[in-house]
Amino acid sequence: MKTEIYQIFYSEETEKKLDPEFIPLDNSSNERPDWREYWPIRKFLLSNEMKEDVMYGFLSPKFKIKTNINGDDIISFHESISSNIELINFSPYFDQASFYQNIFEQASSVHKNTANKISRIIYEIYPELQISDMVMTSENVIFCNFFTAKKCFWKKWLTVCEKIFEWAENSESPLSKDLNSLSNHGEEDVQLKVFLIERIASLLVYIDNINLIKYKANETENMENSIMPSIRNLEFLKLDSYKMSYLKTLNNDYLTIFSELRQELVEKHRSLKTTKN
Amino acid sequence: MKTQIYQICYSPETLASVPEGFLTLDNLRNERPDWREYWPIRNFLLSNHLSDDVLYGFMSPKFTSKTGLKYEDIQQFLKSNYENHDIVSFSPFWDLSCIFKNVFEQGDFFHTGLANACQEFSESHLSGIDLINSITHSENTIFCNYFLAKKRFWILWLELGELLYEASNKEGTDLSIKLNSETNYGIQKLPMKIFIQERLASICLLLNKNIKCLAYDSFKIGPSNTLFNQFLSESILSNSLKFSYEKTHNEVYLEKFSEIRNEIIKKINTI
Repeated sequence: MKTEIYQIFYSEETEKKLDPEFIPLDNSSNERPDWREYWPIRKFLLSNEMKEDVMYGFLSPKFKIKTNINGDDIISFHESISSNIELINFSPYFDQASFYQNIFEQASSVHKNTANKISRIIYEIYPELQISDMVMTSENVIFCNFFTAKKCFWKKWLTVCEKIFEWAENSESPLSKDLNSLSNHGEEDVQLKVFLIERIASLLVYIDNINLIKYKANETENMENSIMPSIRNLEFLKLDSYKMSYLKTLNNDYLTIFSELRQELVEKHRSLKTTKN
Repeated sequence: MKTQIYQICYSPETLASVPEGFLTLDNLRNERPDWREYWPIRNFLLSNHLSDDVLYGFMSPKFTSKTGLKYEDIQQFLKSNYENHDIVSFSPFWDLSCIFKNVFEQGDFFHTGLANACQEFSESHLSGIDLINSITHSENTIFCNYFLAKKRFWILWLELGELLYEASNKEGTDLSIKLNSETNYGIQKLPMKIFIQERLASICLLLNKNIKCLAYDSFKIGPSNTLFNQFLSESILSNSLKFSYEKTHNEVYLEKFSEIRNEIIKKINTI
């Protein structure tokens, strides 16, 4: 399949590090750093006519560091796939995708005091959705907007993101305060709207049952286990498998086993930490 | 959904103990015991008109003891879960369906040569579908022919059954020698074809991915009476890893599955 994969650069320095297989997307003016990569992607989508038969992607300069995937591998992968595929997922963080029931539960756990705010915002977008009912796996969780997709998916993505954009920009909106509230992201504080935008692709894939492929890069072998370094990668594979089994059979027993194993791992990790200390 | 569930009766005793709600399928003459239940089911399918709006099933007299299910349990399950599926399975033996990669590998463990005989049958009559490397799990494994199905499925099943029947009857071929060779079944010796015909429903599902199959939770039915039945949590994990592999085609799931299976077999061999 044909591709147009852009890599965003913010400065001369990041421009030099771009993968030569990707098309540079200039965001050096960086007018709205508060929106992170949404700003240049939004600008592109609002001002360009997209083609139906092309897979588009907008990757950050950290793509290679986070995924260990080269541009030429991505391009050749696109050449090998069937034309009915709507999205290819290049997401990193297998540990996070498998450990949490869904990407919103993960956000609420990683970014403190965001659970209620996230629920309120998701309710405004999709009132019928219950975050606690959503089950996502390493196949359909997309972090960092590391995906390529066809025009129709990007259009849907933009529509939902624009709702968030409008609510956040309009101080009169009841959701503005939540969306602009700060939350922890490593050393710095970032507005919640950024974390939400990052999760819209996963949300749409989940709701619309998009025909996708997860790019395999030996993720479990290369996995940087940031959640619980003392726990073996096999345990994350088990968690992911139990969720996939639930999705295949809709048998709640698999979710129960998932929750029990997760709890067991948390306790094991705690006790190992205590022993070390 | 209407059902017609038959108990195959081989003796006056089984004729007298047809469970409530089940119909009688008389096989007292048992003309071809070498074909076990295939013979009476075949006779029924070849001599009766099937309706499109009925689920048909042909269970052995051991159905209730192997599954713990009564007629009302089946009806209740259908009422709550049936949505125009082609086939509804009530397969027992979660251990055997989960721990092995597929029903052919599982069969070969107990009946050496079964996997190759199945593959040879496939090469000759099923367009060579790769059965040996296929993945079967709790959702597409059917042991003991414990299933209900619509006419569409039974026609397909009979078509495969007749290919197997013909292949077994063709004297002197490599395949017929394999199909008629004797294998152990407890203390008995039975022809291999019996164990292949028992896998026809699973083969139908592998051949036709568009068949809608509803599976009664096999973990709620009993395990086998083999040593594998002590590995419940390993079975659940193995089943899950197979689902994940089937969904993602990521070899890592299959590698972990194989490690667990090999470990279980190693343990069993030391008991």
